[in-house]
Amino acid sequence: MEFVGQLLVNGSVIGVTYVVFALGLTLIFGILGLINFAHGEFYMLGAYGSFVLQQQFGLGYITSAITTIIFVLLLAFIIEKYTISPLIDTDHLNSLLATFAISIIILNIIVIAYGNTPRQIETPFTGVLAIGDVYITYQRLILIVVGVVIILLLNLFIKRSKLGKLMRAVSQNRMGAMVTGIPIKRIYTATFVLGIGLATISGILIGPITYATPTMGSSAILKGFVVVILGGLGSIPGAIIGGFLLGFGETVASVILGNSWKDVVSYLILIIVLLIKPEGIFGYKRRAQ
Amino acid sequence: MKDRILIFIAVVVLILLPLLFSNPYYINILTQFAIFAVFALSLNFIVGYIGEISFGHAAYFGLGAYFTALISQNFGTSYWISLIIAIMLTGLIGMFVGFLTLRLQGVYFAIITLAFAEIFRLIISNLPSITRGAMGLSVPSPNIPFTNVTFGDPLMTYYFVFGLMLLVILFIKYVLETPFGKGVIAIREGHLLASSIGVNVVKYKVITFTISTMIAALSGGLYGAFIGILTPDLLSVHYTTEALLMVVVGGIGYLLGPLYGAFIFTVIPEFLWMSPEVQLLVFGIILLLAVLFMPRGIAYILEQLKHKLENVRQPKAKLESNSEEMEG
Repeated sequence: MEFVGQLLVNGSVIGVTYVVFALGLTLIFGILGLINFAHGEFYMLGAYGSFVLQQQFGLGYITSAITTIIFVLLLAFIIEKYTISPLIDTDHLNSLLATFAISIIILNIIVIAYGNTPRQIETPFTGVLAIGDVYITYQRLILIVVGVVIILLLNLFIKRSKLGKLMRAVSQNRMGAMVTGIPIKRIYTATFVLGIGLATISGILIGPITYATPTMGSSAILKGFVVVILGGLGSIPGAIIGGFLLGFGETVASVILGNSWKDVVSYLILIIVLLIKPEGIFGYKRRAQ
Repeated sequence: MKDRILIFIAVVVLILLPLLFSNPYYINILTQFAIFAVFALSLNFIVGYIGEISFGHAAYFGLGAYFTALISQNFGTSYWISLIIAIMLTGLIGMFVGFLTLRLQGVYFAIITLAFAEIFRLIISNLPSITRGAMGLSVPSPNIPFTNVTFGDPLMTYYFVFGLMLLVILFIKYVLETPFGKGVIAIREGHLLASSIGVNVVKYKVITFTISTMIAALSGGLYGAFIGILTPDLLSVHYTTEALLMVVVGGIGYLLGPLYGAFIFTVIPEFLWMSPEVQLLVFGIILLLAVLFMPRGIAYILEQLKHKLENVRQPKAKLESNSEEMEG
């Protein structure tokens, strides 16, 4: 029984991280119609931001987290304004390639500045909570709690707030939204910044657990794709269900097949879903934009 | 006619260029250029003529290299016979993947090709008993076909690879001029219209994709013999990135575009003495600037320059030259 409990804990940690990460990816796709290939690099920046601010400026985990988020949001704003926005109405390959270029640029800046060595991130939440024979470190507990709060807040924001409603309007019908006078470019900017913020937060949360490495973003983006395709590109509930499915599925698969084959299984699932039901298990058919 | 003279001059320059260098290092850079040019040419066949971005093209480059090495080492066939078999095998896999994936478009196609590539990469890295996995599979230098010169002799290797590159260009040019090739271009310009005049869109796309993976396998087999050691990294996004950079910066959909790109990304950095990371950073910046400010690449700019020069000399030819745009 404690074995199953431990699997549940591990699965939730991975699942929550995937969900928060993938929510940003799916939000940006749903509203801008753009697959953000640089999404993983902002996740990586979340972890590296914490590391740099801790090591070089002596900040604590929480202050460095807040500073990192502010910095990355500013960066996302600038990137959207000068690279995504001018390309968004041209051939869709252009914006795709632009985010791809941004991912190469960010990745290599980090490699040049800090090398390939894994960097440890300090956390004040040390210690382990034992529930019976199931163990969970406080950082993992914090990750799950903060992650779930963010997921709930985001849902509330999308459903209730004015900006959230505008976003949904643009996502459902871009032309219609434009006709009713919604400042569509500003919605794009807001969505992109919000989506990047989610990637950064997931990186900050996972950093102390996995260490920061320059390539952590490249593996995260692949998992992000699996999650959003599984749940349906652009669908928020889909990303939540998809993230937990992949998190638990991977945990089980790594027990049965070992770590080196578990990724093969997730990519196979991705391919099968794309071939059989490209709108995702929980998605609906999107209108061509 | 003038085009032919220009191409002839370019070929002669590329043949004579290595003779200027006494240092084999520089000749090897030219060889690397020719190999990557073939790889980029193959990707351009998908990006430029099917009009979709494959984020997993390195898989076929890497499979070509691995199949060639494994066949020649396990069955004792010569490296070049093995390369031909490897090209066929990779083509079969490419056909299978293409058949499954080419119904999807845009981001879906980009993601599914990436997923396939990652699966192939993981299989190779998870089967160390066959492929030696991350430890790397060493490839003994074969002889250049019909000679006693080993692949590795700088000058002869360059000429051999350069000759193959010219053959690939001629082959692609030929394919594009057949009714099949015209059909492919028609699909790129508008797939609904193409299917309405009787072009079987999916079939044409699958054939194009298959040919492209076979050319990629050829470049992979050459690269394997050139570097002498294979790692699963050959199938990773990293190599796809390099080819994509070459295609986009060189000029998507132009026959010779990938050559300009390959030249810029293999030859120039070697003379600038940059570390690989700085190189990639600069490449990323170039790609971003290219997408923002010259999305049609160097080939387009060269074409415009040529038209300008022609128009200065004979202003009346303007109408004619404009109608020739976009092909080639």
